[in-house]
Amino acid sequence: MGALQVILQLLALLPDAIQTTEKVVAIVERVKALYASGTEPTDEDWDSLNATLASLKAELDADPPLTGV
Amino acid sequence: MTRVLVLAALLLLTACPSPPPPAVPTEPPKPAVTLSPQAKVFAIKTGYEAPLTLAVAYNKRPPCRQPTSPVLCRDPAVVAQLRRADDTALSALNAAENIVRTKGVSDNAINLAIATAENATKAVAAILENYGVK
Repeated sequence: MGALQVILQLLALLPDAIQTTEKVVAIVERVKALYASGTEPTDEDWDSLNATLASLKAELDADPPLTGV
Repeated sequence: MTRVLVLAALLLLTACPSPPPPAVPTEPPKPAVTLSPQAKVFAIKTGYEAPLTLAVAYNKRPPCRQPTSPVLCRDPAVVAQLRRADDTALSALNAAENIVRTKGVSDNAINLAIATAENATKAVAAILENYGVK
């Protein structure tokens, strides 16, 4: 695999990698805030969180298309 | 021409501000206040979004192929491990949620459910760490 090909592959993955990093950093900040405040979650908070986790689980369980970089 | 392109790409890569590596919260931060069991499980469950987000990102990578694989690729065996660990973690987290949202459950049962949920989420984070998924 040539150096140019490797670089092009990495460049193609960069936006997704940055987006994932931003998401994870935001989650970590939310968790810190929860531990700092001790706020009781409401039913809506639980519903929203469970919907998010269900959506992520569906994405993890789905097989992406075989075509890649 | 190729050298110029490679050099340009390298310059572009180094010019981009590198984001900090995502920290998968394997250990919860020390609480500033005493958390109720509900608040604690909610925080653990929220934190689980982080490793799950990384697992989803891994699953979206192009597949590894022989003899030439993309630089960053997904191994079906790793994806299978992540899916199994995620099933276990979500079951444990949902069980813990049910327990802390039910009145009259003993402290022992609550503590056991919380510990089980924490361990299950750590298992997903450990798989990601073992395979260098960031």
